Amino acid sequence: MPDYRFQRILIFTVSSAALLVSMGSTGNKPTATVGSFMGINIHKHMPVLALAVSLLLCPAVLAQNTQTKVAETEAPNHFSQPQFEILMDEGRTLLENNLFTEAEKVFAEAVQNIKINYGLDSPFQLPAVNLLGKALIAQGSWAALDRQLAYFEWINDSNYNKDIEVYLRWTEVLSRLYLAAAADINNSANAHYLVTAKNLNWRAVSAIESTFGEQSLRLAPWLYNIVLIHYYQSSISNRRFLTSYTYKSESSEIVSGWALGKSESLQKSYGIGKELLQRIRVLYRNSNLANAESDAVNLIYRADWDVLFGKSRSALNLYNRAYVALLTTGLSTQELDGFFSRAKVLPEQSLEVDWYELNDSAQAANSTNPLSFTAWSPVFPATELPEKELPGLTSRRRNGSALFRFDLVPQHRNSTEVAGVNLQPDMKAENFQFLSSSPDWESLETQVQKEISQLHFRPRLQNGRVMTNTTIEMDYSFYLEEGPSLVNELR
Amino acid sequence: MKYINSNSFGKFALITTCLALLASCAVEPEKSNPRKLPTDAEVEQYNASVEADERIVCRAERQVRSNIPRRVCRLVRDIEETSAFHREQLGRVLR
Repeated sequence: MPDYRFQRILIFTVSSAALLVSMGSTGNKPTATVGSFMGINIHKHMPVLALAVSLLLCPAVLAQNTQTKVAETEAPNHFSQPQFEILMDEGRTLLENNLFTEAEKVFAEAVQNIKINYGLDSPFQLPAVNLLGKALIAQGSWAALDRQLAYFEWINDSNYNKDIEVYLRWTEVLSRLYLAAAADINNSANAHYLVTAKNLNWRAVSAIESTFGEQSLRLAPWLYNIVLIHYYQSSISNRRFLTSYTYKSESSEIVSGWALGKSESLQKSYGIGKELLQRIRVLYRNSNLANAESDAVNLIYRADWDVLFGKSRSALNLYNRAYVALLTTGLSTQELDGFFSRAKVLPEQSLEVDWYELNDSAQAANSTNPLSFTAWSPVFPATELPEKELPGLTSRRRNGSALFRFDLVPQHRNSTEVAGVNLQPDMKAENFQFLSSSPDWESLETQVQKEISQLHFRPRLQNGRVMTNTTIEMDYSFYLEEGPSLVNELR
Repeated sequence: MKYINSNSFGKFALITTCLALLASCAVEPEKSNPRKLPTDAEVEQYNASVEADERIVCRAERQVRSNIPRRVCRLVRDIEETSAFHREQLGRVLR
């Protein structure tokens, strides 16, 4: 902003002098004049008086100018429209440099700027609140995060009637923010955030059903997200004897003393996952994408779900059905055995019902030797980092890794399989050989070994039968800051 | 006239009694279960869109004098009210 301070002082001086001169000239009986200027009689005290008035006014003008300057530095100009874009860029840079407190301030300022320039419920705020949420997660400011995420949802709800696509896009972003908060080891309310993320997905499902119908294929990825969250939830439930109603609820206050036993909670998660996977299968069957391959792939997802909950007998039955169904579509035994003989850690991170796409991605994942696995968080042990990198965690260093070689041995637990579910893997990792680790800590070896033992692998099949032992080399990456230690050992 | 021995008669009587017992258990499905109870997934979807005390809780419960678990669904608000009522009654009796 240009500085007009001196021009203004000059104008004030000249104008006040002119005023006094005019006052002097109005007298009918000019006495003690010292001369005339442009026909005006000037009183002898006039110049002194003019100077005094100017001197009196100058500090006031100066103070006014200085105050404007101070105000400009202390309070940002929210009325400048492109200002928020500059702030967003600045905030992103701060986030990348792990300066979270500073980033939080800048994003909060950007939100204020957007509110003033575009309105209180402007959807332009959503990207800023999203980044603000990331900064808060990284700092572990949970109370502030709750407020911002509730505000995010309130703004996004207004998109529901305007543009459902925008609503769904931002609901996914919000759900990922909640998941990131749930995965944070320093968060004592992991389950609360996890359940809220799940509820958001359910609300998206309800929105799609009412807009596009209950048979819409758009439901499938949202339903699969809920299935995945149930798996994450089961890994928390598995560590607790009782699950309180508060735990199952998204609200923080205690609503009632209702509680679920561990096995009941796991059964519920298993049942809901099974029901939703069946629904996804029916959605594809009734769609124009229906074909024998996609139906068989849906069976593989169902079988995977049974593997995750220790239902090995029914899982094997489903794999066999999928195998036979794929054979009847004209696929070769060689191709199928190729797919089923690859080591795959479950669950699949996303829903892919196209057989060729699924096969290609499995092939690509196994093309690297050793098999690479990135652990998500100690809160969810033996769970792979979700496909889309989650906010909050991106900023942290994931520079811990350990290279292991082990045998994968199928377990025969058919005789003990009853109605109940358990999260013990069907394929047991044995005969561990520690190859290397970074950093080279002794404790890492046993900790990573424990985590790998908890991984669920898809049974390796040949001609529809479970293959015998196989040796796998795995590069296990994790967040060094938190270590690979299991959460139930920490708490 | 054919001779009916006591063994055959006994078998006949046993089968008839069993059938009669089975028939007595039969009820009209509409009357015993007028509305289909929601599945766990349906309950979860509903609960995701309502306030905390409007939520539904469904679980298998064993009724008194029966070992067969039955699925029962209740509103959280009702559970709260019933619990409060029972606590109050118990407090009155024990006073």
